Amino acid sequence: MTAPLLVFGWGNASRGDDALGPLFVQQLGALAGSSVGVRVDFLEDYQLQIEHALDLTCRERVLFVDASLNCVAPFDVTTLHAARDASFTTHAMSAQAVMQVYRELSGMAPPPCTLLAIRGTGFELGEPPGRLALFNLSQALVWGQCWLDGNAVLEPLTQRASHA
Amino acid sequence: MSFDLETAAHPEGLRRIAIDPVSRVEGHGKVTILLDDQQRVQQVRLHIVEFRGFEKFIEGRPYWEVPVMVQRLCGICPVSHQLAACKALDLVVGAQPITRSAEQIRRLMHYGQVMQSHALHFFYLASPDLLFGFDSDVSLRNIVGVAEAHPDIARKGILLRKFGQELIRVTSGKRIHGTGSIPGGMNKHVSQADRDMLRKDADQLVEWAAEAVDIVKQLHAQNRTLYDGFASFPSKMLSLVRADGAMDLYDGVLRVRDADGQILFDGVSDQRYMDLIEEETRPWTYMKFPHLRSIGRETGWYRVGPLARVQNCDFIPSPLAEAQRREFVDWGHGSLVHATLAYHWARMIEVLHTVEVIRDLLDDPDILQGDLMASGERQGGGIGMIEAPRGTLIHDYRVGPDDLITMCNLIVSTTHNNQAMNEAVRSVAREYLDGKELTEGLLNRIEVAIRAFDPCLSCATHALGKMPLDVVLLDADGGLADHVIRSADGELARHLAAPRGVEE
Amino acid sequence: MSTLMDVDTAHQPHKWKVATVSLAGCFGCHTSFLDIDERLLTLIEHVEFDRSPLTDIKEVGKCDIGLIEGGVCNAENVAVLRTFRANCKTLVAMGACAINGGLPAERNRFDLADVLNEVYHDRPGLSEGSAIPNDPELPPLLRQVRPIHAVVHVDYFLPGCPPSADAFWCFLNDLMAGRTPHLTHALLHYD
Repeated sequence: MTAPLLVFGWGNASRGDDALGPLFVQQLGALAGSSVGVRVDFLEDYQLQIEHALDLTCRERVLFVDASLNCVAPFDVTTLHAARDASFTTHAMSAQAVMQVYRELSGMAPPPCTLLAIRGTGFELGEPPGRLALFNLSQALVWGQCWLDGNAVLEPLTQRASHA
Repeated sequence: MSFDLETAAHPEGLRRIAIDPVSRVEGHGKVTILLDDQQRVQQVRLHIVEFRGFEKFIEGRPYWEVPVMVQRLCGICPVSHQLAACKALDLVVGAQPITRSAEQIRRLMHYGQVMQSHALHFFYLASPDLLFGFDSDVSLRNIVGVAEAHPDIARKGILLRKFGQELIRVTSGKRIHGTGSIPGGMNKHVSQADRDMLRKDADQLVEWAAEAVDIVKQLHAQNRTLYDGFASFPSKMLSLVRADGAMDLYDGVLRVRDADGQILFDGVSDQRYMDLIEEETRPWTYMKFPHLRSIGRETGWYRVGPLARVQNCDFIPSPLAEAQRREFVDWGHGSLVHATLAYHWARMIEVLHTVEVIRDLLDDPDILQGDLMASGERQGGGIGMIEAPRGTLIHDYRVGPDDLITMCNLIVSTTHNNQAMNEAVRSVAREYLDGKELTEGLLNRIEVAIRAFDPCLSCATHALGKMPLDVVLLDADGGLADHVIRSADGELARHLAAPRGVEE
Repeated sequence: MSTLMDVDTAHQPHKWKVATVSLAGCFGCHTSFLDIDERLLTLIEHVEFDRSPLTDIKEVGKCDIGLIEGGVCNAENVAVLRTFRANCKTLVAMGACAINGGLPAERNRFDLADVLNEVYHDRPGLSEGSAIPNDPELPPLLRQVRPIHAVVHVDYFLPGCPPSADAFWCFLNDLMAGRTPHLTHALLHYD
């Protein structure tokens, strides 16, 4: 029996704030306690691949999590739609492309997917995540818990923008 | 003057003749001629009819794929695109400068390809008209006819080209669409065995290249009136030159001379090409019309390629070619040589120059060993400019932090010659076709004029052809919130610090 | 490398008529064909070129072999391809573009109408008269770039981007000697 919820974070833990995706998954997993593996699956990887389309099977809803250099701070939320693009042939495959692969494989619409982009500022190899990025992560985790409970606000929260 | 015969005043009721396709050129072009019922020429246009949209689909690709992809713009000059892309991306990866070994091997690759491309053009494509006559028998007017009537010339031409192709194979990995040059430097050294194989033929090839110049000089001398007058018209000349004014095909700064030979612009950095050049679209062709921004579309157009390079530079830094350049310049008796057919002569001078340079490079130990890669602080974009066989080639990229291309702008050599080629065919139409019964031979004259430019029409139709657009977003206080420029090739880029407006 | 001496010219007085064209290609296949270098001088003892970028014959006539480079990206490509199929006994797709669309097919992931509209549609700042090039001289573009076998039956596919000169040489030798063309492992490239 597949868990109805999936939280999938990706990024390179050795590249500064790019670790935010995997860190979110680890920390939300710790907060989710006993529902892990029953109500919600947690998954992390370096980058999205076409095989990840298979992880969308039998889900009620999916949360994709990634660090971003240019989203609003501290985090941004977008509803995703399956879309064909050529990113599947690069290391920077998009979540929309994963959904498109799912659609083409199964012939069905993918489950509702949301992208949580957490603001980072530096992706230097060998650097740990920065303090500001970790603060943004903590804010995102609060929102993430709401998402697990089904209470999260899903529109892009542009009012939070404080930067030019 | 510039647009006479571009658009007929009353096209309805005129008779249309099409030369379709233009043969013995690279790529697809057609010429349409509209005639009234007295056979007077009312309109002549060179249409470039294909487009592929490279700048659009390169967006979103990882930057290291670009030198591989852009070579598929053209199968005759892929090295030009490989190197122009690498020069631009060198800046992105912070390789400023690249290592000496990398540059010498790239120069070897580039001079080899200029040589083979020029040899291909002259011997395989253009020579039939020049050796047999513009109106000669269609069935003989090709490389096979040349091989049968002038086997010695054909063989030398084939071997000159072969040498250039082998240089490319040895430096880039394959003769066509190789992978030797990469952002930041080179992938491999030249092996001792390859170097020895090439070096042993180099002296012979210098001799043959000198003979090729003699052939063209003879053709000019024997047909002086024809060669001086055919499709001859004044134009500005644009090319790169080395900082000291020498001819340099791999790197340099932009120089423009006006039709009288006076220098109009000099020392313009390749990173600032957009200050100098802008492009215009017209509805009847997919190829755009670049011109000097400050001078405007009517008289701001210019020629590029061998005719421009040989006359733009102050000297050629190799002795035999330099002597030939002086003779060429003397032909003009103090003025620039504007005869379109003189392109062939200038092209052969460049073949001689490239072989001389190649011979020296093959003796440079840095092609066999030494560091091949350099890197430094990452940049958000870069511009690479090079003198491709057909003229100045410009590659302009922006790369995002995820290593994917966010903007790609290409101004390809042949595009610069668009207005000039149209001028050339109109000149031929006025002089030879106007009021006459049109024969195959007469129509071939139109093509002879085009062929002189050695156009690379596939390269020239990479683009989707767009007008530049500048959008400035002000916030409620009038401060700059955003500034987006859509370049002449439709790619969007944020340039918060850029001056506003694209056209004055 | 095998020579063309398998073909006995005493018993085959006619030359093979070969036509070539580049549709939406880059000319790399044609250039690679010319990379047979001096072997061209031997080849022309057995081959006569009909319509080709190398000759001034503008219309393809009845030919033995048609070599097609490039995929189809506009209506004119389709028309030319069909004429070649009708006139050539053996039609060969040479190179990646003819075989699978090649690099120009990268534009297929974009909606062509969207791109043209975005590019030429009237917007503030565009100079007067800017519009989607629509002169009747320009052949209409296909929505998608296609390989040539989507339009006509193809007899042989010669892979490579481009196929090497040796691959061309081996292939033509086989065909002209009446053998089923066979490329060895070393000659079979897709790059």
